[in-house]
Amino acid sequence: MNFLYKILFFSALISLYACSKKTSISNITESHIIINDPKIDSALFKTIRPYKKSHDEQMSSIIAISDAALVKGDLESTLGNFFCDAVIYETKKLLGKDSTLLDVAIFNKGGLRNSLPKGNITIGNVFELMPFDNELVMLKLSSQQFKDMCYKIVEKGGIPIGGMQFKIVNNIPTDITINGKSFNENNDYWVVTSDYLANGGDNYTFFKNAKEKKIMDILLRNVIINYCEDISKLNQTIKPNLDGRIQVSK
Amino acid sequence: MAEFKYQNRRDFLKYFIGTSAVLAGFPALSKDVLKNKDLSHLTILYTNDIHSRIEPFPNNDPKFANQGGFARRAAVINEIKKENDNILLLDAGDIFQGTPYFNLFSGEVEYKLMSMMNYDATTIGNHDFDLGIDNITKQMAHANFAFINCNYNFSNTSLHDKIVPYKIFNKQGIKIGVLGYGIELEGLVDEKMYKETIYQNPIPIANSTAKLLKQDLGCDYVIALSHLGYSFPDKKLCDISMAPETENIDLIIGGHSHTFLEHPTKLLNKADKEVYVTQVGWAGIWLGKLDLYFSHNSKKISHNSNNRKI
Repeated sequence: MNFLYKILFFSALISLYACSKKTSISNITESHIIINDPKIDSALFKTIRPYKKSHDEQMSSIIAISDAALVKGDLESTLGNFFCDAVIYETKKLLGKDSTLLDVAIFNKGGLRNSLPKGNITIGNVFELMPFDNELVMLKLSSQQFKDMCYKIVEKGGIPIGGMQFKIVNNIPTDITINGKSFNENNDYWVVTSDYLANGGDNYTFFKNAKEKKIMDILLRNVIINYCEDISKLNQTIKPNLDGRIQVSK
Repeated sequence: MAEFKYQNRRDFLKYFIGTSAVLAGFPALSKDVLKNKDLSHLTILYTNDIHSRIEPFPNNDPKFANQGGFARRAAVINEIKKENDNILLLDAGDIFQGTPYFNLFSGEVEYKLMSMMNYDATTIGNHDFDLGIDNITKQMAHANFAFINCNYNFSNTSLHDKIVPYKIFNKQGIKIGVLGYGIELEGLVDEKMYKETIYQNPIPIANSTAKLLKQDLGCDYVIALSHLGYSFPDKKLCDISMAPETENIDLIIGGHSHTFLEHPTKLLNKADKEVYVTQVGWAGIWLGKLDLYFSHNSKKISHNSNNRKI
């Protein structure tokens, strides 16, 4: 066989082989790597550096001290309670002489994006807790809408609330007290929340039909920053608080 | 599981002529092909819900102290590349939002670093809309990886020509089809952020896209980048409820629910074939890794129906 024929022969052979080729998976192995080794890629590190410098200049100032780490949890949590109590404190301050108007604070668990550490709390920590540019909004709810809200809290397995207490009995909210007074079917109630929930976000659709709406013209994040600065001025620290505002009764 | 299929004579001839030409020109290559023991190894690495976690969590973080961080993840990927340089690096969305880096720099840092790490593709998560859809479009100037989604109609938005429904990656002879889909935006994302993006049920679109990839375009393996969430107590569509409704998808890399899965969940699809559903929590604390070994076995020509077409 001369050289040319050899090439043609092999080409044909290989082509036949190729067209009968079957690619199939013979094995799969799976794992994950926990990223905790301090070894870094230097090119990425260099790229991050100028951003980090600017970030640290703006985020590292300490605005409060916390006695313990505040974390999310089921029913009520140290983080959810802190957040709601802080918002009620600051909203009442904003309302001034009308502060008695406000009854309750309510937020979605998913809106609190990170824990707060024990010890120093920086502006950066609050940015990570509340990274969204959500604004503070007050809503006037009918008693029926308020009840719908309570059922929603039960359905969600508890979400951050302040200014109210209730028990869950067979998935029904009972013994609802607002500012220490029993829930009254004849009353309207003012709640403070985020514009995200007020616009029906997270399927809180009943908030869209609230009887009145007040836009407080302040970012929620700034409300929390102000609260941290306010209690520090009073030489107070953040204290974790679980007071049984949502309880399950058997 | 996967199989090369020549849909028509033209495709086949293209392959036939191509192979012959290459082998005639470079006889050395024929040796490798003739070895008949070629096993390809592809390493799929993945993240989801990175949420702007540029730096590791600080050492006083109650849950994840000193974990995560882009420069560390890049170092880990460099090490893996030393073992196998055939890598597909994917992300399942929600790159944006979660640390002040996003508030200060609008996502520029995230996209730049992911490009440096040679990410191949991501999909769009709900939080990627957090500074508005036009911010995604703007920040894409810093990204050199693909943005894949097949169930959002972006026609009337600035993303209309920036998102592909699927992309095929040729990884050392292995054809990997990647598609992507995202969650219902109404009620979750403020409308002024997603503007005229239209959500469509991902099940039929994902299935037709996967069919195209697997059966018409000859992909050996099809991956879905999903931002639906792993599972929910209510009846909302999620990876676990959708996987049995799919066909032609081999792996679902999920996100949104921040679920740390020790191992992928294996489910059966509509055609009773196995689908892997996986997710690695959030914030880049874990890097998911799936090693696929493909064998290219020769079959007796008489047994291969495709060959009869010649």
